Amino acid sequence: MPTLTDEALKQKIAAGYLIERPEEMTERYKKALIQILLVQADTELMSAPAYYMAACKAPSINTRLSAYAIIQDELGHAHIAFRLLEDLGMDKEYLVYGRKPHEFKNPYGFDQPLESWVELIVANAFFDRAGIVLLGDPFKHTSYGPWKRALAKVDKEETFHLRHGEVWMKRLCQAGGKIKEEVQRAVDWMFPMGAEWFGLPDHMKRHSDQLEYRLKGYTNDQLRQQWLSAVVPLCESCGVRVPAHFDPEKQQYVLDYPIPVEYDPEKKRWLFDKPISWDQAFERWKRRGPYNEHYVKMIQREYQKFMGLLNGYGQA
Amino acid sequence: MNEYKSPKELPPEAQGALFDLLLVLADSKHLLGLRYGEWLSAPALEASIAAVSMAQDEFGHARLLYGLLESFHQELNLPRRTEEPSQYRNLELLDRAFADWTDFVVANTVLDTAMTVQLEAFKESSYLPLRQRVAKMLQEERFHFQHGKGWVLRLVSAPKAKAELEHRLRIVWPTVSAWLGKPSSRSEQALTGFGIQDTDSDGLRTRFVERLGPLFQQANLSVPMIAWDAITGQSVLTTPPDWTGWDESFRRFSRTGPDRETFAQIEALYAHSYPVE
Amino acid sequence: MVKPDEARVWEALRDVTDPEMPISLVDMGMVYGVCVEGDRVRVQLGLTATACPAMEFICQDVRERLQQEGFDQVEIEFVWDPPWTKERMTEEGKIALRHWGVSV
Repeated sequence: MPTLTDEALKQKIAAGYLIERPEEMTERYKKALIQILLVQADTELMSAPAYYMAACKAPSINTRLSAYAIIQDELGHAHIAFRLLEDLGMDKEYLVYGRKPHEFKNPYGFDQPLESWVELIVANAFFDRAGIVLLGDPFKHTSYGPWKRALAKVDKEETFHLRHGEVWMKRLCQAGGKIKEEVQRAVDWMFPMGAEWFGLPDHMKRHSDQLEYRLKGYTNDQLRQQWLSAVVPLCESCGVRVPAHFDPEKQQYVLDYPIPVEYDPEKKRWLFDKPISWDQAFERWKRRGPYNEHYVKMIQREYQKFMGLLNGYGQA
Repeated sequence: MNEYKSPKELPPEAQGALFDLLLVLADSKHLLGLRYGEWLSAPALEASIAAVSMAQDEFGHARLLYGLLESFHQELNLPRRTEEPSQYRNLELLDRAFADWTDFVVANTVLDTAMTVQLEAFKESSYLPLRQRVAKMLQEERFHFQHGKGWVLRLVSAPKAKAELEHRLRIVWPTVSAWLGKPSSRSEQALTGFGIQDTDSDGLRTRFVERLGPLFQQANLSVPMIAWDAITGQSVLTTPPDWTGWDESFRRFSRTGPDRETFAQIEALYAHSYPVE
Repeated sequence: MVKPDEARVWEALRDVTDPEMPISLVDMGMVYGVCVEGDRVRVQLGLTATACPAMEFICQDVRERLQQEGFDQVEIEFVWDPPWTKERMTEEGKIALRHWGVSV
């Protein structure tokens, strides 16, 4: 088989060709694909313990059921993504049960504790919206066939999570009083978390293999804009304040603070008067948030013990 | 045989017995749902997904059963009753979190099957609202047994895991076996006498053993409470439950209810001011 | 014989989809019965699972759609007997479900 060059691959992709098998990839394509799939897999996986933590505070059997359904979907999506990684030669068991907490590539938002029903709702409305925006992109554009097809189911289910979040957010805000204040407090820390999620602004970004190989189609700023254009009107319709507004001149949503800024994870507070560089923001992500280890442990806790039992060593 | 469409139509002794049993079942399924849901840390991602899926089934069944109970006492506001865990009538093996995956597998096969056997006895029930809901629940339970069975067979492939499984089975057996009800109790007489369930507690125990026996046989598990009768080719119960301290209306040996950590989750269901439908 | 009013309700319910899948309740085989009396309508629904997380959304959507049809009172009753199974789905529904990556 003749060696495939990156240029030839890019031309094929530009002509609308879908890649189906590892043999059709260059090493570089494969590396970029693994990277983006791993982020998706880890994000879905680590949303489960975060949502579970909040589900334990569910205010009725019905609401607990909805939360569990969402958790099951997220685990299912993670499973799909890990299976795709397996097809690319990765070891699924190791990826789920063998890595150290800091090696997981989920966003900073899923390193944070979700401590109440209200925080689960706002997470559904904001973080699942980020998920839909981020996955809707490859669903529409990606050059990797198996991923594109798998995303059809993911997209439908995430739409349900979002509706769950949005309907409940409206309902909680209509209740007013202390409940609405609680929503406002959750929005105050979760909104900037969502805005930061989309990463480096386009003017600072040098080069992206993910875009050149058409693993995805939109730039970070375009994706952030899609997110803002859904989330800001939702909050406005609920009467909840967010540090962003629509700028009629630019015809787009703009943030009212210089992104990124410093965050105090203990107090769940953004320090809007303390702007930082993106490098510093990435440093903060890498240091990981307060619940990174806890959540990873919630997934990995039993695996070693169980394998020990099966293999005849360790405590019974 | 009479058919009863509402609690009011039931003879008083049947009404009380059915109320008790439905509450035992509802609380047990609610707690089993909580326990299943705790297994994001199952030893395989597929098993975590199955666990949270089965948790939903159990919650769904609890929701249906609590719904049935509401017609008995409107003011009951289930699953809330009181701020006392001791009011909870769940199967006592569900009072606290499972220690490990082996416990999960035991619950998934033995505990879950006991509840299913109880539900099956309502298939032709004279109490119409219950009969109408049973088929759907049983349909959903089929997967639970299959899942548990798959893991039992995997566990017994390793000697140490098999020994541990046998040990746990012996621990839970007397409680689960008793949970199916005490023979000749007043409530049992009412339940069978008025056609609410189709057999008595010993009949249920026989079905329970017939369901699990073949699995234990296939897995070559030694559980002394069950013996294989070579002549009839059936599994039979060798040791009847010891009824000392048994409380038939709660189907428990002691009214302690779930532990504090578990109870906190139940309390969250109503200790709030959210606009729940 | 389906009464004209009831046919209209069935038609309207074709617009209500399962919140988890873009398939109508009618194609899902979830509508067990419809009964119209003046401006009141009673819909019998069979949920796909006892634990259906979308129960509330389904009720809300059915209510809103039938109110658009001029029904002041919309009563929804859940039916579990006979239990919902995939066999209840229309051919159209089954094809759509396969399309969304769910095996039927």
